[in-house]
Amino acid sequence: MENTPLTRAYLETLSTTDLVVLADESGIDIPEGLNRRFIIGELLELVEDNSSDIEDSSNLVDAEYTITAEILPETYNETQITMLLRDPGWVFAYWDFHTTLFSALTGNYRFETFFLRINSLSSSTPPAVIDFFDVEVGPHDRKWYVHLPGKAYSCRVDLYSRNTQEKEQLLARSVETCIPSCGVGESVFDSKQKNPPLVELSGITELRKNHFRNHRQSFN
Amino acid sequence: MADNALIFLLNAELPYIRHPDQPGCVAETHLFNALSYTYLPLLRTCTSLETEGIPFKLAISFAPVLCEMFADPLLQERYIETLDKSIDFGLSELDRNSLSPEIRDLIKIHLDQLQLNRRDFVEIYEKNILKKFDYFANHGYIEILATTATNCYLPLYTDIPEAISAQIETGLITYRKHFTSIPSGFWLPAMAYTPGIECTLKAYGFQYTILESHGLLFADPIPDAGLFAPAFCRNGFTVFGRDKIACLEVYDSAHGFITNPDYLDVNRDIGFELDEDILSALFNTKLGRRMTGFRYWANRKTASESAYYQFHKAHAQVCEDARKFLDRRMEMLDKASALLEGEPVSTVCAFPASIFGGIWYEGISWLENLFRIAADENQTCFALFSQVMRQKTPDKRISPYYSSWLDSGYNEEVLNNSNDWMYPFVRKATTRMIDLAERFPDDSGLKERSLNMASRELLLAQSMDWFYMMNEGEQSEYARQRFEESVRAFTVVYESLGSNFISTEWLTTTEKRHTLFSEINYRVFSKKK
Repeated sequence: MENTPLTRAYLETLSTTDLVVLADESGIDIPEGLNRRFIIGELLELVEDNSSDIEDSSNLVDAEYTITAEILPETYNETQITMLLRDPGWVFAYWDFHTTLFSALTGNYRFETFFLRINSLSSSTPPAVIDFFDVEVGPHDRKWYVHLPGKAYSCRVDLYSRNTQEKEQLLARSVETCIPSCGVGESVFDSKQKNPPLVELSGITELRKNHFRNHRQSFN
Repeated sequence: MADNALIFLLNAELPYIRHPDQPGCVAETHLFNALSYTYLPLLRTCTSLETEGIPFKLAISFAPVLCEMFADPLLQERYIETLDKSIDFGLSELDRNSLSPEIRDLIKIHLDQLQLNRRDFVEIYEKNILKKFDYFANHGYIEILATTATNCYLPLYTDIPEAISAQIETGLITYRKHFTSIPSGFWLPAMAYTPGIECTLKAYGFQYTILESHGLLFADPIPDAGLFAPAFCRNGFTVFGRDKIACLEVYDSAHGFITNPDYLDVNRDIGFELDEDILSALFNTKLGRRMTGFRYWANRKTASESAYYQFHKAHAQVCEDARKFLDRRMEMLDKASALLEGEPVSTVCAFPASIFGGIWYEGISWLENLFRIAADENQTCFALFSQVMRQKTPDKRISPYYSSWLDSGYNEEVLNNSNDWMYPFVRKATTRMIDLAERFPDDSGLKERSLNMASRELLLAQSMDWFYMMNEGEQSEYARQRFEESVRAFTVVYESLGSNFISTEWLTTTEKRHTLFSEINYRVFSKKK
């Protein structure tokens, strides 16, 4: 075990007992009954920390074999949230937890829920939150599609936890993302709006009809 | 009216489907069919038009992945083997259908095409068709646009600018490897525009791109000329708007030309109909049924309407549809020009190349007829983007609207419940790659080799093809495997660099499997200083 690279693929091959022993040898305190994937996460984090300390110019050594993981990891052991724009009306958010934090939060008997806070931001610098709403998510949820309120310049999704005693706790913030605002503004579906003749000839009326049919929620 | 220009663009793209250890796999069929029914016939058309002195202008965005597959000796040899098997199989089909003269005639036509393809591919193009496209580009007939290394959906990486730069830079390196021209245009994969991308493109020396109709028509402000002239972003970068309505006249699944009952039913292929015993002469049936190119029936809506394909009827329809399309474009351009008091106007028709010869068997012939009719009547002038770009930028500048040419008009096809699980992996791998490029800026030897391999696998994982294919039941498992394979390979390198051990045997095997982007430099993922 000593000379085997500690990769996720290798760690997945070990029994839970071996993982606990390895964690113990590495100085990681493992609470009893902790899920093996959390132990793997902790070990990998340690490897990553150690590798940053290794001089980067050190050479790679040819190993006899490489174990490739059969499955992709369930977690990257980091508390973070990411937001991607699906269309002008909807965003997709996905998140992950650091295993220790997750265990601490959900293991607390006062734990109530995780939730997403969807913030509408102004165009000022720095952007100000002009409105927000919350969406409760389950402890095992890792993704959510959110419909955006209109009128915001940009938006940001925050990941929070809440328990019965303390104030809500901010866990992670996505980057701010601009929400596309239609150049024809609120009149995009206004059939009475007069367009320049070449724009009309380009088919804007048909385009608007199609957008109204498929994306009306995106332009409220 | 002579300045009215019709710009025609084909987006040539396919997923990377090289499987050295699985000869005859179904995935390869897509590449070989594209060669047989789209690219070789297109080159023949271009050659005929050039020989006859008929002017033609065509823009093509060649995906670097496709170029790498066209230039791949293994795939070239396998294509020749496939052609040879098809020719032998065609001869046996003649015997099998000895009592059906209509089918025999169709088999003979198909055999002629197969033999022509083999001759052209081996003797004329010496197995690499890109040289001939480069020839046409150098002679002013074709304009070849650059694009990303893999078919990467850029709007979903705007918060990771290094990913976008890496895609563009590797795409450019591959462009220079296969073509001798300098690209002034850039094809955004899926025409997916996100505000600000014009700044990146301009920084790389590109002058224009093409957007879906609503990218221009919902812009702020709306360009006065609508889709009939290029518009200019706030940084002066030129954007052309695709005339989606015109394009749908061709391929709309309900009313487009492709639905005409006289055209070949490309989906009714004997590869899906005959007994495995018969087909086993053509391909390994255990690897899955597939398109063979032997298709005998015309497009009919019901089985009772079923009829054999008649070449002369389809040909007459091609001529009629080409004329109809040109008349309509000329009418629109004339109207637009009149509204602009005689100012030159243009319209852009951009299509996936796979429609021509693939979804629509007669598509290349239709395209040829467009050029022939236009030349005969001396009215519509086909043009290249670079010819239409105005010399001076006007005062009015726009902010184009978020858009793509996917059916939804935005990102829905590449970001939904069937494929959203992929983003945490590919984006994490991307940020890790940037980190590696920063940590190992000057490394060489085994480390450099590993990093180059990791960046190659990451670029492959970023290809939207896998995300898109996850929506399609029959292809989703293949897409999942390919995506996971690339992410896993990347992860092995990432973790190996942490532990300082890597198996060179594994590295060599992985490099041999995916031989594309041999000039790749992992430092393209570095942060721009």
